[in-house]
Amino acid sequence: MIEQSCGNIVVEARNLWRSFRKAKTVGGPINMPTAIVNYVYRRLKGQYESVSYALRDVSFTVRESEFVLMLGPNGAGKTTLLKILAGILPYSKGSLKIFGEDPYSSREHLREVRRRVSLIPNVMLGTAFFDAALSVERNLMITCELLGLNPARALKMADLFDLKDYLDTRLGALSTGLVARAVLALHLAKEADLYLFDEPAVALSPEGRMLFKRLLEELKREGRTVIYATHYPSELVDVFDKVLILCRGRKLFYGTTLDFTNTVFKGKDTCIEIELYNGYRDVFTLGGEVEVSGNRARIYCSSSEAYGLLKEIVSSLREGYVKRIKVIPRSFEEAYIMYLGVEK
Amino acid sequence: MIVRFKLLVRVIKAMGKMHFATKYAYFVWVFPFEVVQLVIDILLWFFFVNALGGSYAFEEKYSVNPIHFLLIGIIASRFLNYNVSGIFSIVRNLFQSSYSTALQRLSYQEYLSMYNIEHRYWLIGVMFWEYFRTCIIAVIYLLVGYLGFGLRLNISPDGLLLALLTFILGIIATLGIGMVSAGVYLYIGVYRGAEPVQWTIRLLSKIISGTYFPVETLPIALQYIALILPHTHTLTCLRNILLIGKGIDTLSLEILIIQAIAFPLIGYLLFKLGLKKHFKRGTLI
Repeated sequence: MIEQSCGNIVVEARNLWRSFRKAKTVGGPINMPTAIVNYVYRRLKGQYESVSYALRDVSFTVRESEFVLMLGPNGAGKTTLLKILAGILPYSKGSLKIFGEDPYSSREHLREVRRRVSLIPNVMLGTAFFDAALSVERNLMITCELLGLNPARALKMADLFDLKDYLDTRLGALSTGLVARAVLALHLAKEADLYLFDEPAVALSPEGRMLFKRLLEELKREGRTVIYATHYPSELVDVFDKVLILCRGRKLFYGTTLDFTNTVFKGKDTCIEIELYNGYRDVFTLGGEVEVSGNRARIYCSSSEAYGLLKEIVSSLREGYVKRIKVIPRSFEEAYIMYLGVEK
Repeated sequence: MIVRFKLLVRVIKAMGKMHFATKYAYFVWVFPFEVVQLVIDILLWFFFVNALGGSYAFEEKYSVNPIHFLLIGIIASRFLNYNVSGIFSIVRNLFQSSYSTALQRLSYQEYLSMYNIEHRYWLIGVMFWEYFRTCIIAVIYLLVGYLGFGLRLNISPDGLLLALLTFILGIIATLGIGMVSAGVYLYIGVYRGAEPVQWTIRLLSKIISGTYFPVETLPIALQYIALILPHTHTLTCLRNILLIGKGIDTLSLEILIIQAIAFPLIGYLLFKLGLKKHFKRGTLI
């Protein structure tokens, strides 16, 4: 696939591998004494820890101002990849350049990458330094001081996430969704060139997600680069330029979102769903790719064909037979599930 | 260097704010009870001493009042034992991925790394505030001793300097043991249960280091084992300086000096090895 050549390269990963070592235990609860016994036993028997791979041979390039959506089932390696890109987990094999330098080649490069990259975790991971007994504002202020963030920007972000009325409220008295907004306000206080989001919208209400989408649009306008891992791509997909799909540590797809849907739907990006009162099936012999189930049929076609096909369907049906006709643009999520099903 | 120092000050300051903002309840509600408990403990020892024939026999044999002996032992042991187990527990909290959902894990260490704060700053910050708390408790012990039990310390400049030197040597040696313990913990990579090094040292220090009674009262075999512990040498020297007023020529600081060099060195190497192993292993465990 030919990369779109606009903007500097921000992330260049080539054949990236990350292994994890898992100690095999000889039964019993894993505590320190059993671990020591196990360790000695393994050494004596010449057995070593088993190795599993969270990332296998992953290559991709992200350019400046690009928005990349990262998808994959649980255990695909999304968080591991984000940690590597954030400079907090070294890779095992391959090569990686962020802003033109390998972050793990020297301490200076690592510091520089950590300064320019921000990893925004979800609510469950992001409250490490928050205290439930303190107000939202106090939590933000203290944590900003600890992490060296700009408190004014954190308050601005809190405002953006509609937290103004809750600044004096004890964090412990807030709902999970509001705490999630506080977490986002804190982490977005770091001004970065590359933002890495790790399922940040978990626990956000629909209006919270809408505010979050606005923020992403704002980041896009500012020309920031974003890599965003999620399990719910549909509502955000129009903000993103590219999609990276991982499964069991391997890269399955990397390209533009349009390329992805075209690859999966093969041009048939629209669905005409027809429901009839009885089994009158003539309609199902019409053009397009037809999928029949009982009295219901789905005709898949391209959006340009949809109008003509719909007219043809309507004219060919006898009055009183049709219960419902719907024209649905096929969703990104559908493409993702179909793709994953095939690739698996 | 200046940047690192500024970073350290920032971390300590923010941690202080966290402590005072969130743990002020400690000073209001827990701390007064701790003081009462502390006074009761000293009284208990005082009555023990009386029940066992009074302080005269002890003073005659060891040239020191038993309550004064005990107070110095308890104060110094608090610092020394904190060093032995403190680094281990801070490192465990730092590297243990306690904030986890399903397959995702993010430890404090990773969290701090994202903001270019290395784990050593956090370690120093936590220890700084724990030392602060321990210092307050030490002052209370000394006050109770001074007001209630006639404790008078040799506070001549020479005596204080020597006591400080001994204390620092003891602190360095026990910090070394703490690093050994943390290194073993990181190397083994199991985040549950007790860590055997610090557990053993803490247990032994209670019985044989001479915190509560003179080492000379122990069987000869245990007295030899006691020599391994930096606690033993630190406590003996501190008591000799502060309570008896002995000078440097009458002290035997050699073993403590060797321990203050050897333990941190071993601890540093093991800790580095443990860290290397930890990062190689990864956090998805």
